[in-house]
Amino acid sequence: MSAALQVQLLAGAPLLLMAAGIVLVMLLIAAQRDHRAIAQLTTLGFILAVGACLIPQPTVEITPLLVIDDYARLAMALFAAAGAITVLLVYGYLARHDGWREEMYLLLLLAVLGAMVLTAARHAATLLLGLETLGVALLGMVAYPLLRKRPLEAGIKYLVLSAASTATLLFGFALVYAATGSLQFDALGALLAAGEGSDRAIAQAGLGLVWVGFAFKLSLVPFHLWTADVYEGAPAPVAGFLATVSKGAVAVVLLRWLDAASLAQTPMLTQALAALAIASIAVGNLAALQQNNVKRLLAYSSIAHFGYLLVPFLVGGDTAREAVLFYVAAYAVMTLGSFGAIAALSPGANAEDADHLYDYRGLFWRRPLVTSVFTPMLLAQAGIPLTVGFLAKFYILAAAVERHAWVLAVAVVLGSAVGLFYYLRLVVVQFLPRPGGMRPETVWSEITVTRGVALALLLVALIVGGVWPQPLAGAVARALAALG
Amino acid sequence: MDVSPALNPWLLPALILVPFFGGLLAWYAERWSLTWPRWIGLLSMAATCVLAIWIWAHAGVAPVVPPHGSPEWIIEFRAGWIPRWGVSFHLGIDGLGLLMVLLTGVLGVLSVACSWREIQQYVGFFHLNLLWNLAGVMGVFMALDLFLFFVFWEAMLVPMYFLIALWGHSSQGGSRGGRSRVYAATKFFIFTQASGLLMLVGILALVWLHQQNTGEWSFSYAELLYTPLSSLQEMLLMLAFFLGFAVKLPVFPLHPWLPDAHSQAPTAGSVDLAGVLLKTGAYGLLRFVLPLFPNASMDFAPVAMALAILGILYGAKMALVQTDIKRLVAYTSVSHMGFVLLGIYAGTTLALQGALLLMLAHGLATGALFILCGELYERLHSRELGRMGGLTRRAPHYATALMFFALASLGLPGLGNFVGEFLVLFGSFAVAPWITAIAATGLILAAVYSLYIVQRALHGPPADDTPIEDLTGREKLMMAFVMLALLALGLYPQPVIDLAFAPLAQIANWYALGVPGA
Repeated sequence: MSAALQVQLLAGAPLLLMAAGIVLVMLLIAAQRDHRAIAQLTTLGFILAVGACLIPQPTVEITPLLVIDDYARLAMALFAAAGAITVLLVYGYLARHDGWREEMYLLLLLAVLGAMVLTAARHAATLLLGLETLGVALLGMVAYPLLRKRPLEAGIKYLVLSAASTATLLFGFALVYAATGSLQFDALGALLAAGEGSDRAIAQAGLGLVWVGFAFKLSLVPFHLWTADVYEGAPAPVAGFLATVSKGAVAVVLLRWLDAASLAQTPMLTQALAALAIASIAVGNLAALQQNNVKRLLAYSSIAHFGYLLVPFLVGGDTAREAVLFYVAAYAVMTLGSFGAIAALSPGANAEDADHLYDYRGLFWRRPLVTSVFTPMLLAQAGIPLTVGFLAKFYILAAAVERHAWVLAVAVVLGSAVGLFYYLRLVVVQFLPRPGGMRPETVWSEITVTRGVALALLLVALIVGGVWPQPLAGAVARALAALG
Repeated sequence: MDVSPALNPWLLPALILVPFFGGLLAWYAERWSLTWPRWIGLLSMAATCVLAIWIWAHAGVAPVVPPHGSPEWIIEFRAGWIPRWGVSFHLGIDGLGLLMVLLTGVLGVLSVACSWREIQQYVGFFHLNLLWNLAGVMGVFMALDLFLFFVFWEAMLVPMYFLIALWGHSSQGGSRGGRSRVYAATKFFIFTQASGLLMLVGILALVWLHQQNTGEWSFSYAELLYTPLSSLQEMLLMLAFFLGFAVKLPVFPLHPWLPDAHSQAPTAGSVDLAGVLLKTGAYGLLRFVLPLFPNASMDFAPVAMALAILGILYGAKMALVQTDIKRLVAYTSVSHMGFVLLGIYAGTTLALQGALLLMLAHGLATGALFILCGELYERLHSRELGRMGGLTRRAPHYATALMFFALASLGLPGLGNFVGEFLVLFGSFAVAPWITAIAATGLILAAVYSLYIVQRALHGPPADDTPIEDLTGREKLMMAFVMLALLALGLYPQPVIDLAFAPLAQIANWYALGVPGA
């Protein structure tokens, strides 16, 4: 084996691990269905992938399609960790599932593989490949409880809109290719700048369409209409995974894409996107105010969150790039934790999730441990200090202030103020007395313990990230230094 | 200044950590007994008082302004925190901060003591919130890093929110049960958080300007003091900071959260809000707005003083028409804080000393008034002035206490409030005679509303014949303690003035002449 190949294999280890895991799980399912063993195997695979990402290595290019640098490795570690947490959450959720349970882990591995490909993409083909792998796997996960109406409906909605967004993205890339003759990110920047006349117009139209595709995936207003229904219908752990990994991976690849197709060349697009950001913040927060369904509430709040996240993309600069990555990491923790708490309260794949506001009344007295995770997660999303959510917002405001983007900064501030209202409503309802049921309901079992471990890990990440953020901030800064 | 070996730097984090861990312990102790959390709360707050007095006893502050331009601290504690942003865990205390910390400790003890009988539900969790709130306030009074300051500033809100939302009273005859206290709590939170975030933008802008100048990220107070700013920048930043603090103080048009929050909060929450949380706003103006933006503050002073007068008169006017005794006291706070604002923006050493004394006296007197309101509510289950009357005969000790604090609140000579108000007016007169003259009319209104409480609640025919329990031993002890403290402040305020002379005189100098080196 040549040395170059060896280096490439080592760098691609997380991807290979996922692929090997998929094959292994598939074979195991064919041989003997064992829910616990497969869940354990999947967790192990994710943990190994996180470990593989943490080994320091130089930047390695694998074919013209993939580049594995520190940036990709950090994002891969994040998504693999999110996958591991999702396994722990979904295990209990599926415990009483009537149908086949094991395929969920297959889909999960596939989805994380897609997300990992996205983080390393430096070519339009890889980008689409990763996006589709992720999207198709997610479709299966969303509609996993096949016999229930809401997940099925959510799955179909997700399928249609995801296909539409991919088509838009494809068309956009086609136009960009027609104008520049390149699909490689590295070469694109110079070619775009050099284009003139009709080429330039075509390229700009292409860039616009690419952004529309991304906006679908990030559920920015006005491309957000699928979000609430899909989140509401999807099983709670899957909704959390969808919100963090699917959206997070798109945000990560978007940062790479922007290095090539920088917004500075297209001022009109920048203004349009600024309007999208403000609209997302406004619509997401205002719509969340109206919700009595907790999953829909979180869906709208995620629209608002990605409105905030668009701000650093728009303003650009080093701080802004750090802000993006930091926010994605923080958002992953907060959102997985919030949906994890919902999953912990839900009966499982056979029945509807516990997503009505009334289900949460008196929760603090009935399920103190769930509340003591859920409350900090919600406060973090509201941006309260001592949680990682505050620092994420801090990064965004710092990025905006650095580039004098006052309008966007004020939009973030006002959005946060409105956001407080519904987060606090959801927090306080857990502490209000509920007629009839105030006794502790905790039961200890394998399921509650696995879920408890997942929630506890997320809580620790949330608090440590908020109280002692330097390790994460340092890792983010190093990862971006590699991006150049 | 040589630091006495008794002043270990770790005393400062201890002031925060004692209530923090006390709160955790109180929460846990609930499983043993309902009395344990109360004792743990009481002892932790008493411990912070002891620590503060210990620092005072060993401080040896000379009432002399340090000759050089930089601020001087009795104790400093510094540890690295987030090097990426130049944030350090930097605490420091001077005479001003120390007095505020002491006030927080004393009112903390009172808050725990006054909830002894009132709070019967979720006792452990209540004390957790109360103590964590006080820990956050301690942090606010000591933080010398703007990032850290902001963290404490926001962190103290969440427990306060819970205090109001979970243990508060829903207003009488109000809407469905539980709704209005959550409404009041949410209103309080959104007002303060939104203005706080605007202040965060201001902090970030200031830090960024500093970074442009020096090439280094730093949130350190001592370094940011010397950031050169254009007058427009200074004005905008000053407004962002001012807004953050003005909501807390509260300054006239930004006060609507206050009456709701006060009247809906449990007694301990009201004591805490009026006594301590409002003071964080004034402290912020003194510590940050005037020193960081002296020129813009000077330009802004007429507006601020006009707002102060509006607050004084509006608060007093609104107090006069209240029928709910707690709302009445809440509006008097708006009025009194108007005097504090006037003193701060007058900016002479004398006026600043007055503002400080008034803050301390107001914290004690209004805290005591809220405790008395709470005790009355425990007995009558009503806060309507119309349902009181004749308390002098029905509960003589109670009536005496209420009389005393009503007189303190109107500024009777011999008590702390008088000294504060007098110094504020005296110090402001030289700067803005007309404004001071109008502000002084607020004192007349204060006399009217204070006597109105006394007359309606204590005299006249009793509303009904049911006997009322007079003050219990615990309540008498609390009242006697506050009375003595107010008398001490009124009769011999010199030690307090000496302690805070240097920082206040320095702030006055900066305000008048600009920060040296700028």
